[in-house]
Amino acid sequence: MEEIVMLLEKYGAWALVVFLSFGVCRLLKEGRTILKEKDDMIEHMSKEQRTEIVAVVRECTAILTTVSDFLDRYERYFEQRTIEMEIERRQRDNE
Amino acid sequence: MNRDISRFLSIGRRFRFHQLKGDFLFIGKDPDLKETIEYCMDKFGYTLKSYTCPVSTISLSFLNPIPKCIILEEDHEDLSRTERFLASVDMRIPKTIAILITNDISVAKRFRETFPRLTVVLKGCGFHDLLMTILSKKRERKRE
Repeated sequence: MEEIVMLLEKYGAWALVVFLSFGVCRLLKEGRTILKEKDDMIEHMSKEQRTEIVAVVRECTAILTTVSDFLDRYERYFEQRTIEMEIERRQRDNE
Repeated sequence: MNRDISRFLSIGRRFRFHQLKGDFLFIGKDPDLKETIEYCMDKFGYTLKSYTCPVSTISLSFLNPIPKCIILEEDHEDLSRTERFLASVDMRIPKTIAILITNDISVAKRFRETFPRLTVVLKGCGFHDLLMTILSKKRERKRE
């Protein structure tokens, strides 16, 4: 501390300017680091969210396709059953 | 991952497992693993097709019905091939359930993050239990 006071006494305003500049540079450097960390965090979060959104959309597609397959199967079964019932009815009528 | 999304994916996977018709597909070289899977499939009356290397997903999509579940063993020689195959399955045949088996925890973590819909199982840690749980649930539903 004493050394700083001696420097200020000796060099006056110039020393003050040097100290302030040093402080400002340090603050700027810290600020940049924090900004970079923030940007990285935002990028990571957006990437994660994008992956999640894609996964949810794909899951919805998969569920809808599965339901569609089920309905197709059911429709085929229903048609088959209708034909069988019609054949049975005709056989009964003929008898 | 968000808990709600994880739950949604898990319920969706269960729904697909119960509704889909099709065979199980095992892609891997480990004979012990193959034996375990074959044992489970035999026990519950499912059919299993085995391959020793990843097959083309285009050819899989032409199968009728398409495979219900693909059980894939991690390719130790070329991990990118496993990744490409899983990405292709995820994109081309999303309704098929994909299970990756690995013995490397970091690989399991990486794949879980890249493919949230994928079920990742560590080799020797509950794969048999997982299969038995899924299959027995299916059997109970059939009985009902």
